[in-house]
Amino acid sequence: MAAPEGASAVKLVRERAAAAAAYLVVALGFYLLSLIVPPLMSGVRMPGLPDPVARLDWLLWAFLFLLAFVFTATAIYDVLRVLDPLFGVLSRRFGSAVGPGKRIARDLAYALLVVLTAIALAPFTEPLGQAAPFARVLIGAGALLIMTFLLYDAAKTIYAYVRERIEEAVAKLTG
Amino acid sequence: MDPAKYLLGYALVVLLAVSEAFPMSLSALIGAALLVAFGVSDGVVSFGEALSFVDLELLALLVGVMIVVEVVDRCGTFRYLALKVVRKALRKPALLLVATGLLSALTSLLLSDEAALLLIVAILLSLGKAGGLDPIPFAVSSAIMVNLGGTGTLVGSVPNMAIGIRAGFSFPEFASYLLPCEFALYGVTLALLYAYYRGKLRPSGRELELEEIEVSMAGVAKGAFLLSLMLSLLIAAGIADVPASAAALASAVVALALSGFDTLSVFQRLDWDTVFFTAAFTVIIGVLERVEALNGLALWLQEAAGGSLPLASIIVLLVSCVASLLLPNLIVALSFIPVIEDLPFANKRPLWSALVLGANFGGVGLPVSSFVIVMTIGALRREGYVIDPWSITRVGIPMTAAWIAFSAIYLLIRFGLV
Repeated sequence: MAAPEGASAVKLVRERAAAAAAYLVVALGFYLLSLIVPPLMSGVRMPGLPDPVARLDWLLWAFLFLLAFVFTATAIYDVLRVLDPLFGVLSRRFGSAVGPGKRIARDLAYALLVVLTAIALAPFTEPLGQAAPFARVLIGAGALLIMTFLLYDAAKTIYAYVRERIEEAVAKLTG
Repeated sequence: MDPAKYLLGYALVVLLAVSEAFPMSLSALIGAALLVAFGVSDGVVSFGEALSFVDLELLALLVGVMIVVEVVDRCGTFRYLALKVVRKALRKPALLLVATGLLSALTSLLLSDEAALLLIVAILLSLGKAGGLDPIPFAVSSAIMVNLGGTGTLVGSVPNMAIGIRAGFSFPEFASYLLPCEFALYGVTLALLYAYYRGKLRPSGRELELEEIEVSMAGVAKGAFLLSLMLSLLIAAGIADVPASAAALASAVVALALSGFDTLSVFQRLDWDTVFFTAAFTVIIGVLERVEALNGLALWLQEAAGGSLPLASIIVLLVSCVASLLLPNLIVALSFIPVIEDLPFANKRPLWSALVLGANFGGVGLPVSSFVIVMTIGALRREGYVIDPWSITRVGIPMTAAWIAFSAIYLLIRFGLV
């Protein structure tokens, strides 16, 4: 899954960012509905079924919550796809011409480096006084964000590699 | 204080080095910076103490030997001797296999493995181009012999220097423990390589010729003199109980003064990556020792050996060899040194010797084991020879197993452990 170049990358970023925002709004709408609508049905029960499936309010809540979850997941997926061109640039910077094994090892190494750097920096925020807790949150959150990106890239590389091998095997088996 | 983050710092260095994310030196410097920061904030070590963990004696020996070898290499001595020997063996492929194998091993006693291999492979490839000789069996054999070469002397490899210095071995003492094993293994290895490649060692039917090289005989003689001087000083230092690093530095000063080469250009050619890696990694190991993070490995080894020195030696040999199949051998050597120091045996010579052998022998087992293998494959491919990396493993794994079996018997007999 090579990152698109130039104009097509910008187009992809615009499209997916807009789609992610729209999905998030829809997800939020369903979540709000899951809080508002089910209480209106409370007390209505389906005959002969155990709890909680007998309760119509629970069934409605589960349905609306599931929809909210699916749209949130779709939005997250789109956000990650927006990041693909960024990963393309980063992987070129750190040497993209390496096999998947080495790329995964590098992603894990960088993730570990970020975590350990955050741990090492944290005690040195003490002289900041009252700003120290804020600085630590900033360091921790920054590290978590970068680590998430790196682990996503590792997962994407593993997925692409495994998928390619499986497709090859299937193509061989089916002649 | 939890040693987990310190061990994670160590794992990070290994991961960065193995994935080649950064050069070895930078990987180790990052790890050292992190571990020192942890140590300072936990109050277990000060910055000054951390700097004192750098083994200056080891660095002096390393840089001294590097300078002498660089000067001798520039004199053309190694290339001249290599071409002389190969020219004598041109007509008989079996003899050529033995000659190039021995040359590779003996050259890597002094040169780095990479430099020794480059020298031999360049000659083999020119033979291949000129006379239709298949260079693959010779190049693979050379890579294996280069890995074996240098096991038996204090200055034969960087892991040897690190282990020898911490064990307190002088140059003659180190050689007395390990050189007989290395020489015996030359015979075993060449016999096995000949048996494996016998079918591929047919004469090409064409006249093999080597290019004439223009060398100054005065330069070759000067290089030979400087090499002899360094070896003599190392032996004399051992007898007079003077540190080997002093002998190496003295030889380096004489080499620079007598050679007439530009000193700065000699310095530029030194392997600073290895020097900085060694310095930074000794700091990492120093901090790990301070927080007692390596005690677990020492305790496990102690329990597994059950107080038996022969068994402990065999375990060190096996574990360090398996580790060096997967990791750079310098990392293995530097990591095992404090473990052996922690073991409660009065006589640790068999253990140090086992570590030298194990750390050196893992280099040809897998394509990822050593840069030498990668270099051989790359050099052959650039010249259009197709070689499957696993074809080296098919030779390398049984060879490593044979070396380990032989070395285990050697250690038991040499140190009277049976």
